[in-house]
Amino acid sequence: MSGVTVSAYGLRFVAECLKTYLGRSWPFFAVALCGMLLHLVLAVKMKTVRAGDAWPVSKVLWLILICMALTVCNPFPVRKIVPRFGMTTVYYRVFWVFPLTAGAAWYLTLLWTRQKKKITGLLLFGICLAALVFLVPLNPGVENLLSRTALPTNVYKVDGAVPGLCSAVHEDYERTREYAAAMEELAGADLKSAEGAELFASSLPRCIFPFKLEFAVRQYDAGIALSFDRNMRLYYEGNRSTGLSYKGNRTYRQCALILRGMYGLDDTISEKEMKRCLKKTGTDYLIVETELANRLLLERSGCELVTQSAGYDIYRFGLTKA
Amino acid sequence: MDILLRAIPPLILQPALFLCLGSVVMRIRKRETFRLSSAALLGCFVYYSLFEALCLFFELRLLSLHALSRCMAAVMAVILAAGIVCGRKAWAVCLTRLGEKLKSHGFGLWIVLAVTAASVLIVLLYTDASADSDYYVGMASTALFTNTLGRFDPTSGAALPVFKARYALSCFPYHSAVMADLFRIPVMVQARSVTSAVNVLMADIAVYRLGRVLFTGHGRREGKVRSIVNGPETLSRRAADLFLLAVFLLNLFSSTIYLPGIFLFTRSYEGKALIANLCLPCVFALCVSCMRGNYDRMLFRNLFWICFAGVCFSASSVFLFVLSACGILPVLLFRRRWKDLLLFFPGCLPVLLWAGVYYMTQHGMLYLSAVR
Repeated sequence: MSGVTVSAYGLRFVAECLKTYLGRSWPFFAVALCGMLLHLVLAVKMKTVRAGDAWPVSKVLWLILICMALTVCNPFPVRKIVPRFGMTTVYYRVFWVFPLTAGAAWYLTLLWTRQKKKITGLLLFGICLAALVFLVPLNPGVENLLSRTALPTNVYKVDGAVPGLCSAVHEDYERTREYAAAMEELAGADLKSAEGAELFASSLPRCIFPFKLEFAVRQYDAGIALSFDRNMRLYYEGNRSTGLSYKGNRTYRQCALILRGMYGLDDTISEKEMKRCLKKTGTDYLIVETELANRLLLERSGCELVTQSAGYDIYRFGLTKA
Repeated sequence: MDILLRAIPPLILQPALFLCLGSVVMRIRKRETFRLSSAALLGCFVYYSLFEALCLFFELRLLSLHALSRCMAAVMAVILAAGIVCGRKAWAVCLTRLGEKLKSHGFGLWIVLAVTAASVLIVLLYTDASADSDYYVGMASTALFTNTLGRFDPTSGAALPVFKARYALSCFPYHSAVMADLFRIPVMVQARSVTSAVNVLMADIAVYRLGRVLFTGHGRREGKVRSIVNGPETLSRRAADLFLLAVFLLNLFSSTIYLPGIFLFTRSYEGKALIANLCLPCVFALCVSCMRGNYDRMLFRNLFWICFAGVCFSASSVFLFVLSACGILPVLLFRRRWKDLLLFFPGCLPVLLWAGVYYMTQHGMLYLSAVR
């Protein structure tokens, strides 16, 4: 959970996590809790409820809730243990243990089915559905689908530009001397050895893609290497959900400088600096939106425009054509 | 179009494998009443347990993905053959009673079909390029491209000197690579469409089975039992149909990115989605069963397979132990079922073993080298 840390919230960490976990879906918790309380009150008052088939389910829900409150959701041990295991960012998954959706659904189904008249059950179902629609926002994924922002445009379910850009990079790279030399070296190498594995990794064209495409590239084509790894790129884009800091990481600083340079976000970056960082990170290709590319700096740093495809420029650095 | 056509066989094969393996296991156990949905669910857990054991062996021995694919092809053939031999009689019985069973669902049958179709459609149509999909789908595509298992960073392509225990010990993403290798389809199609559809189907079956467990004997005291068609079994079946609808609606309105519903619909190709929507509901069903006094050995055996498959799915399988410890352990302690208590820990053994290995790798006691 981004921004919810033990150091910031202390004993309130668990409560804050639960609040963020539920968000505007808090009625689920309210339904489950109300059902459990009602069942408990009825069970205390009436023996028949305790003997009923529905009571064990409520009993299990109570048992899980109490055990969790005493152990994994107890703020005192959690404050000490969670940071030690590096679980701060994924602590919310502890709440999965409590069957919230199943619990709420169980009480709702009981409400609908335990009516003497079918029409009452139907009416209650309608009221619950209306309450859901008015109180709780739609699942963001489903909402994206309905607004057609998440509909796939191809069978791979990636941005339409990715296949074309990957082919263009491979096509160009396979015509370079470096590729031919790498293939020669790789021919007799043992990939199970550290050297062989390194050699294989270095034989791939190393690229930097725009953020919009970066995470789709290696899913589509693992034959392309990236200068940034996932966590590093997330950190650069301001996402702190991984809980990692790359401030002091040299590779990160070099990659970040390249990105700032290629987009013209920092005027103080010189061609020399850019060149040095491209060399140090082993970056072979830069892919940048045509209208956002800082052409002057890229060309002065020794980058060559290979081609333009689907609104993106592909620049090559440090490779010689065979 | 060609790719889509090639994606159909694995889409059919996976549920068929689950059903066959489940039928074999149920035949070996003998004591259980055969149900197609239970067999498919049990088969799913046993299948992924088997895959985890095999894949871990291949991964740690630095063997190739193609070798694993060939081995899995042989395993699949054996499962299918054994399933047909062991399960054909039970299937025939189920099919002869199918009409009667479907009739007992009444309108609920349409609810179940609509919910399942809607869930599958959502995951088939949904697309994103999140950082997590980069990692998990990247793991599969990297494995297929490099013909290795876990030895290259999926997000950058860099060579790894040691396996990352958190990810390397949960082999679920490699299953997509194996299927893509066997059926010659792109990994992305297998992972994001085929696997997603199968996962969401299994999650719906799990919710339905949970509903059947929760509503066992439902309506017995309602005075509604007038005929066989309106008996307790029928009422519990109809209640389970409604329960599936309720869970679907709640998942549809899961508004934060942390709730299981969003994992089901948007990250269905990830093992975490299976932990939250397949394994945990099944363990909850075991907890309810235990509270009702059914401490059969079968309960702990089922717990074992769920935990084993959970380890295959994700590192979050540790929460399966937490749920079992909260929902089963206190019941056994209060009721002084000491013998059953001894069975509880072997039931959770896969998760405990995983946690032990993970702890040792994190504290430098164990070194999982990714190179020779």
